Amino acid sequence: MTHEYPSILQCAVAATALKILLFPAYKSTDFEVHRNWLAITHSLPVKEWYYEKTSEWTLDYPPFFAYFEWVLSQAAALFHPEMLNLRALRYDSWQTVYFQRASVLITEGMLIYALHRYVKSSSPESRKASQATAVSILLSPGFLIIDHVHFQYNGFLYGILILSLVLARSRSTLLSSGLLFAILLCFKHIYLYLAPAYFVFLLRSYCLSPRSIWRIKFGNVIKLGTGILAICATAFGPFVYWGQLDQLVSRLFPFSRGLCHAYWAPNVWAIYSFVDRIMIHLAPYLRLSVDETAVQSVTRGLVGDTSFAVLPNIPPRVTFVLTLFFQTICLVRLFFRPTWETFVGAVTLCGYASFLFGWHVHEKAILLIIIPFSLLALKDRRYLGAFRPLAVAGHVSLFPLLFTAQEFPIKSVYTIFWLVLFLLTFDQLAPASTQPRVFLLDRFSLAYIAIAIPLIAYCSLVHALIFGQKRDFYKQKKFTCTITGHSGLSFFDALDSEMEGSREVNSLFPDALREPVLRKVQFSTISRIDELVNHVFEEFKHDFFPGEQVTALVGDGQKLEGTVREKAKFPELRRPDGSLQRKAFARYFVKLAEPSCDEALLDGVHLIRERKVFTKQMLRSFLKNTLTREAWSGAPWIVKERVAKDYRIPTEVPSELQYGARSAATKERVATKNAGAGDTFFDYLASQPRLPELKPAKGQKTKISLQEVAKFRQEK
Amino acid sequence: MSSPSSHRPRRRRKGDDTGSASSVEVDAVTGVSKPAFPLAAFLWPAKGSISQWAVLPLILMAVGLFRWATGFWGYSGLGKPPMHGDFEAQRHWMEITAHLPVSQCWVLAKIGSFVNPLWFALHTSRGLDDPSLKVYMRATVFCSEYFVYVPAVIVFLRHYSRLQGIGAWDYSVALTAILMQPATMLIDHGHFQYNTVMLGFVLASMSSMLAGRYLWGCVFFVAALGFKQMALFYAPAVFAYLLGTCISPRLDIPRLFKIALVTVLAFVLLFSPLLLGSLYDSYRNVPPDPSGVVQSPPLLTSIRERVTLSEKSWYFPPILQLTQSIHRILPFSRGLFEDKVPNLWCALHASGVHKLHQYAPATVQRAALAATSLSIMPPCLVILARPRRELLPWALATCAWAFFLCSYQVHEKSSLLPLLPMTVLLGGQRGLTSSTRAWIGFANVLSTWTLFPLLKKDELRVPYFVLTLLWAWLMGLPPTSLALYRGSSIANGGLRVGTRILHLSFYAAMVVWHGVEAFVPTPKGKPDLWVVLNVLVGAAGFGICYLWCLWGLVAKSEIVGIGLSRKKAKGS
Repeated sequence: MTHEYPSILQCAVAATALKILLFPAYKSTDFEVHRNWLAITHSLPVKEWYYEKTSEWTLDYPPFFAYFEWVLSQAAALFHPEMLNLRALRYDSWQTVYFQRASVLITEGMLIYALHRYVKSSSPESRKASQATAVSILLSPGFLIIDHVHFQYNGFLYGILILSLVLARSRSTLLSSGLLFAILLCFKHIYLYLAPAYFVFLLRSYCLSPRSIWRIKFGNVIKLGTGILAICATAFGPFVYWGQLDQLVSRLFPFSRGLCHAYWAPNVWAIYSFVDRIMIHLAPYLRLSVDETAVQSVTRGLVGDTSFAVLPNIPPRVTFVLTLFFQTICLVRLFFRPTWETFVGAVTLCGYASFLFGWHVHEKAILLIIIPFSLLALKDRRYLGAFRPLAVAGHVSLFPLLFTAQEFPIKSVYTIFWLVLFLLTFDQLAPASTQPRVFLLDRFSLAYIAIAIPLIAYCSLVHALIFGQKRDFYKQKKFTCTITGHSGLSFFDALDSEMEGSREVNSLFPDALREPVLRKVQFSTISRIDELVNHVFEEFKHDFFPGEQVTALVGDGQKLEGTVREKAKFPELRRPDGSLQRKAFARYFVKLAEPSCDEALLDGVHLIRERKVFTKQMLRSFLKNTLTREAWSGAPWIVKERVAKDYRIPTEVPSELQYGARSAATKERVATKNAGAGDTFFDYLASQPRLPELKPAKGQKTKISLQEVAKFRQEK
Repeated sequence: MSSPSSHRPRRRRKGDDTGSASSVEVDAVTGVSKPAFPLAAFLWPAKGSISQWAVLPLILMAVGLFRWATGFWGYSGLGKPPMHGDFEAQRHWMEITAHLPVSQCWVLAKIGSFVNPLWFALHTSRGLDDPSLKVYMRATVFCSEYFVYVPAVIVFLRHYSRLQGIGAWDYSVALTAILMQPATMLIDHGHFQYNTVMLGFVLASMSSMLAGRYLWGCVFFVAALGFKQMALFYAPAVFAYLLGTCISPRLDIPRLFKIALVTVLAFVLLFSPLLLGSLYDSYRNVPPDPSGVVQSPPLLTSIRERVTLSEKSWYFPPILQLTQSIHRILPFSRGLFEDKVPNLWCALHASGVHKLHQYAPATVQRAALAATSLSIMPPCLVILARPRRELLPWALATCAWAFFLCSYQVHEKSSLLPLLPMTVLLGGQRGLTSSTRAWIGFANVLSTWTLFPLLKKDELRVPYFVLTLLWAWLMGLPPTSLALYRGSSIANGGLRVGTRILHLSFYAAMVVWHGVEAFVPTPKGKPDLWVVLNVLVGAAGFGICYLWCLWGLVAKSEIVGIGLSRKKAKGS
């Protein structure tokens, strides 16, 4: 007996390594759902499991899955009990992540075992093909995306399904196959979609005689019936006993949900919705009536009732009838030819029918088709031809589950890797068909793949670049215009506002004031711009400069426009004893505008600037526009080079304000502080009289300035 | 990539089956061949009719997935405010290169600020840990690796395996093994650095030299040096080889002249943006150092002691730039070693055999220089005397090990440098046989293990264990498999008893160390005890690796018959 390489186990090891590396990846709300179920099953009596609703993620899987969670929670209690707290919503410590992700990995052993059984059960000549199939299922991007990133336990559940399918291969294990499927149904009821195929297959090949459909094998019927009853009793018995069946059913089958899931599953109803969207635009031409309330709801696609604007609404009954109809077609054939391959085909087609026509189908349900179909794909080239578009479209339809940038390369590269690897391998392994192929369908599937690949590339890469998902960030209203100080703007608004503001400042700020203000603030070490503005504003409020436009208050209370022509400064005078003799003041020659054209000699008190021109806000904008400051604490403000050149302001930073000097001084200070006693504070004051970071009551000061800012805003 | 190229491997594959495909094990009883280790099993289906052009993309995608997934974990300095580590350092470098007037602008940073200008807003963005920034930074490492390193590995291995007559399938196995090297993946994609770009240039240089294009070899090597000065580890061997090709088999002065010229030109080209930028700035009257923060570099000071330079002259800024960058790049102003490095000095110092801080830095520097020169002498002399292409990886590996063990200011991450030429030996003749695989695997596992204290700081424990164990398992090495050390005798290509005992005791030490490190607290007053143990074991192992590479080089060069047997005894 020859072995095939790589073996299933080897693939499992390599895949496990990758999956462990993916532990910190994005996880969907399903992660929290399952954590919450761990908490529910661990901390509540069974009676309350299906009534608990602290979290919005209530338990809505059948009892076996709840029992499964209970078992896991026993291990979790040993590992990290904090995650089992019902109230700790959205708890995701790394221990929780490790535990839950590891539980997915470990329970996937079921899948590995089932695939191993599958390869063992196949005939020697098809061993190679079975091995390829098994590895393809094991490495399926579906499991990687849904289980190991998005977070679910599909590997485990599909393991049971495959095991059940494998057991159906041999006549002697038909019973256990059926019972295993019953157990699977009690784990997750989504597999009800496949139940009709099981029902027909077991009925025909187990309960009825192979020779005649009229001869019932009562022994088998009883065995199967009691088995299934026993399983159902274990699962649902306690809840029936407590009279909770209605509650359980309402949790399992939430019919209040809409036709389409939040993300449209790529099925008939998605196309239906799409056509409806188009019809909205065509309706005026076709004179159809449009339901206005529905226009908003369809694209939103949120969980809830989906209603259509133009096309008739779909009641659940219609979806059932359609599903059942399309399932019946293959079931009839299965009934008359109950071979294993027909059976797997029927399982696949039942999955197909329910996926395409079902009510509220998840995109994840595509695995219900892909996984059973994989078992048949290598039967011959016709099957492979049908499998190829399914593999491409099915896996790509899972992409929207992961939408974060970090996981994008994983999902896309892994899927491409899988498709290239297995489509190539399958292509080599699939034998030629005994029947001729249908030319058109064959070409159609080729064309489908040819179109799909560029389309996928466009959807996942180019579209976002052109129409800008990235721009969402800039559209958030969390930017601040640095000139006006308005916040809560979008990036573009803030940018416009800043451009506008700086233009305004450039044209409005009095020319005569620019140079003196700049000279004043050059190398200032007041680090907060608000304080700097206040400081400068106070100083310049009553100080005027030649060339300024002012309003003069002439003796009789008359207000006259004028221009400051000259300024004479008189310094402060002190008597020999140090007391103040005369305060510093200035006199201004003001050339009054027409009609008088006189000149007046005035002091600062009798001059007024135009209100709008010299405001704190304007000053702030002007300073923001013309100054820069390095990032270290205590760095001086420096006038921007081009501005400084215009006004011939020296830009040579005084040596004591340079970074090196500063850090040296700081070091020295620290040294003396460490060495000296309590009076270092004053030493420091003496040596660094202007250091701005000296804020003994920093918090308070900040508060005041904030209040000031607020007040200033209110005044405005 | 249509018919002409895809046909070549197919023709060569015939030679495969008859030749000694070393990753295949033939059952003595049944005569059925089977893969010798799991990596060979993974590529088993590619043995048949699948074209190499289908296998290569699959390999690249698979190793890419592991790389990207490694990036999901922590990086150097995640959430550690004062120092922030390498991730922040690289981001800050991008920020500087994108903003400052010195006209050397890094393309990556430009693209990044096109994507999201907020990441690189100078001065406001220190210590930014935005998740999308992380993705971007990871992507830059990833892309630079796939643009430089990966093509270089492919091309080099193609040349090398062709030179050594290795089949296409063994080539694929070796390629995957090299690309899955855990140490490189963990440092670049986990810890966050751009080593692979430099390593890629070195490989490109090596493959140019293999192909006989010496001038291109020089250009690529200068590029490697220009990307990361660490490539100096290889420089003596490369120099000796190039010199050797000019001397033997006959003296070739024009070639020597051309090589020298191209090297100088490449250096000029490399520094020209910096120099031109500073010239342009001085033309615009921007002082070279507006804030006056930077002190004059010591080299410049020593130049100015001899020659008078005017600060106002036109040539002053470029000289300042040059000396400043040399001062920044060559870390003579730092200590003998940083943290704990498994090399000679740190082992000497930390083990308490001999404390080194009692000597003046200059003495230690001189001692390091002497030891390094002494240890690089043998490989350089051998490659100078026998400048044969197939010896290149051996010489580079030996020389880099010598540097790593003896030189000044070495990082533990620098062990990637000797590892690379050593690991590419997998693609050579008998590269995948038990003995070579065991040695290369030993060096790789050991070196990754010495990185563990560093990786632990970055919260990279899980990827460390996953990737190291995965690689060891793929290559059929301990601790996952003992097949190499249990199996066949020397006659059938197995390992010597001495080698077996040596390797297994090292592997055992590593496993025990992990157990101790995880569960036993360090004794009081010796918080670094486990790290010191790690350093000691690592340094000893690396010393052995140096000797093995040297022995391999001497043996392959067939330079001395007597030396061969002596070295052999020493090596294994």
